[in-house]
Amino acid sequence: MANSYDLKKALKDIEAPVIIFENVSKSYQKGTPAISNINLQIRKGEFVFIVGSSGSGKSTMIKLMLKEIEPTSGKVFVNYKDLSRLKNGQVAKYRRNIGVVFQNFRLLKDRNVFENVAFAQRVIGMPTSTIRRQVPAMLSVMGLSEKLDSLPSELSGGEQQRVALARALVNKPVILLADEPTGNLDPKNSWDIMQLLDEINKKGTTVIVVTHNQEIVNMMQKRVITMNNGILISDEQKGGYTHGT
Amino acid sequence: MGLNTFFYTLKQGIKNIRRNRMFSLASIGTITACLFMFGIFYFVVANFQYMIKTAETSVGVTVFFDAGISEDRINEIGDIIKERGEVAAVEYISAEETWENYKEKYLSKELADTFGDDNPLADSASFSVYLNDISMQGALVNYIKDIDGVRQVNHSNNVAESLESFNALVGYISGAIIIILLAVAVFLISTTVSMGISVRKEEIYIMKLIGATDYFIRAPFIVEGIIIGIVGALVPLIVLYFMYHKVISYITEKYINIFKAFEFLEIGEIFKNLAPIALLIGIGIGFFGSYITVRKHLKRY
Repeated sequence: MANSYDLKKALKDIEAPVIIFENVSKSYQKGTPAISNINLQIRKGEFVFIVGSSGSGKSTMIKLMLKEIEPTSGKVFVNYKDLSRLKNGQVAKYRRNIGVVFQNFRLLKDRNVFENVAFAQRVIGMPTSTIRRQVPAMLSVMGLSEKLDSLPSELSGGEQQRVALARALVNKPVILLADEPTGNLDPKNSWDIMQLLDEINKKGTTVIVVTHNQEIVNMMQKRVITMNNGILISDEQKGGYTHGT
Repeated sequence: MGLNTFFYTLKQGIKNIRRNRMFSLASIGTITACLFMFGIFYFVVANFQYMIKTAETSVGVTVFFDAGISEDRINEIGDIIKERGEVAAVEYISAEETWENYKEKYLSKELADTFGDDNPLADSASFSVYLNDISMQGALVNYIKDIDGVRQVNHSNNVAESLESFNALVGYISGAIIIILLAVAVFLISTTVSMGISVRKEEIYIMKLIGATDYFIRAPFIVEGIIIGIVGALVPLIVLYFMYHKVISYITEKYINIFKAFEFLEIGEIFKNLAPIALLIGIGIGFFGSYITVRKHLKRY
């Protein structure tokens, strides 16, 4: 058993990183840069927390990974692609391999749970028969089988975040980006969401969570990247929330 | 585009219109007004042109010959004139016929009898030349004047010119009004689509992050514009269709003296051209108005 574990680990180690930041800086205007000279590698299947206070550059990193913004200097590689070389027409396809969830869930308020998740498949032209099969299956994984017809306003915060997770995962992305996913949730729901993210990660999806939630970071014992004023100040395997961030 | 995507786009386009009901109605109303005016002008211009065509056949050029000209030469001149493309018909009127017509029109029987067998209009044999295109009258007159054996060419320049210039004036005025209305329609469609975009900002953002293509995001707004354009074209066409007969019969009854000589075009004849033109204009402004707005407001990634 020990040998087979070591072999797996060795294979993981030699695998090319699925996310690379190479000397990346981003300045929005002439003022101080949002991030400065970030060098970072995240391997496939990793679970990574990015922590830091407001304005530390966490969201800028998410936006760079989504190619919502371009770096001022340096290069970002995601899913073995140099994002600076992606043409406009290729960005949509690129994003289909990345799931995103937000603090405020960003659900469509006028559509029910099923339609919110189905939306992710419709926009990439999935056939209705596939949508009818895969959406309820994904919602069942999230424990929302009974809520298919409910509107977001009829759900609790935890349930809304699970709908958002289902939407992010229904197209089977390689990477899941979660920007403050527990920011609007109570401790119990926050922990439930973290357990779900952990399960998703164990099935092979690379999970990157941007958070302020010190307790959760300390309990999860995952890799923690700490940002402060746009600078990466620590990167620890099985780390905790660093004091002063 | 797959069938699923097509229906999804269509559904979203219709949804946009319903969400923005007031603005959509205003846009449809403007296109309707615009194409209604266009239809009215088209009726006037088409009927007027039809009347001109009819009138042209009755507006002739009269050709008189040199004194003592032989009948063979007259026939030759007739053949030369007939060769011209703009000539619809050439009618020979002999000196005798001219004198008979004159007597009938202007002289009393007693006075006419005093002339006995003499024909004071002995040298007044002529050709009446009818044109199929009144605008060519000037050129034809100049051509005929140069033919050997032709003494004089009479023509009614004023009638031809005033018919043509009146028709052109109607065309210019209607063109100007239609262009202004089209610009208003494009502006209103643009506003409607902008409203739709701002209402759906969040949805568009999510679509982009999920991996929807630019085309997929933009298509419902373009469809919205085109649907507005089609409805805006169909409404005036239907109204104009039912209105035409009533207006024509009203005009002919009310102004029987003015219009008794004229014949109006059949509705089928008018709609053969008007319906496709109006639909094309409607679709065109719908597409153009929404396309420029979508390009302006939905930046690429």
